[in-house]
Amino acid sequence: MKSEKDIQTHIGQLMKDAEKPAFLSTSDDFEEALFARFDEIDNQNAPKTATIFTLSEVRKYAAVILILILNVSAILFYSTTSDSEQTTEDISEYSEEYFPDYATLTSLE
Amino acid sequence: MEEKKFIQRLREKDRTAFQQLVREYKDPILNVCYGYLKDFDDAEDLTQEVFTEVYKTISNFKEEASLFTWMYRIAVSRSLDELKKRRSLKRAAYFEKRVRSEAADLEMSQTASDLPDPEEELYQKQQQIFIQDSLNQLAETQRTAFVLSQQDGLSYKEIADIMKKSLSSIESLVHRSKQNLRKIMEDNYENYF
Repeated sequence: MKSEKDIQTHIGQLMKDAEKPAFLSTSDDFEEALFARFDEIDNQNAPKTATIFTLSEVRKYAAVILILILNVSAILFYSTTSDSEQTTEDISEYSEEYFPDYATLTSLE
Repeated sequence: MEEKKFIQRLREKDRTAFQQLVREYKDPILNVCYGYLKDFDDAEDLTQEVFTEVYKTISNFKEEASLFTWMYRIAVSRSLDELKKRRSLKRAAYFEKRVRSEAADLEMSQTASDLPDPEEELYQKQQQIFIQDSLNQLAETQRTAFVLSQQDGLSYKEIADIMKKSLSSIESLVHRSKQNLRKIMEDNYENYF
């Protein structure tokens, strides 16, 4: 059992320890570990891009698409032109068949 | 002006600037964290967290306070959060961890012949636990004022900036924290020794 005086002396010492603790320093690998964490943060924040096609593939597919567009345009142009001629001929043919007096009627005007 | 330029470099994530910042403040920040946690490994982990937060949020730093004050505020806030987490842990688990840690320390000291007497070492550890438990019983503001006042070179004016309080209230807080700490120690002494 400690005396009251001993207790007070011990508490006084403990107070000193609490008020002025030993100054600590970080471990040697502190900076290395910290900068590794910074790298991790930078990698997480970096914009994410995924390569679907390489540039040469993009060029190849673009050329194929262009050729397809040209072909389809040519076919459409041709079919539209021939369709309209066909339609005019058809109208004349049908009009003569179903409206034989159409020319007469129009000539009367 | 110099600090403005330095902050700008930090915002640009200039690694040389961060290296400079870390080298200057790692030990003071570690000591603040240790002042709360009283465990070196935990304090060092928390110091890493503080610098990581600085790295992540430096772009949001409004320069209302100095960089140094802002960093200390982060350290204090993180340390208090960590203490709250610890308090929420089951007391039994906390003591189990302590006993295991002490047993491991004792075992290590017994294997190394050139180390001090294990009983003496355990007594030193017990004193540290007593100091820590006594500090834990201080009110949050008193404890913060006490921990920050321990730091070499940290003036009352700087503590006032960090805690956003007046100079006179800091002087009073530090004084009261010492008085209360002594009273807490006197009240609990027989439970530890």
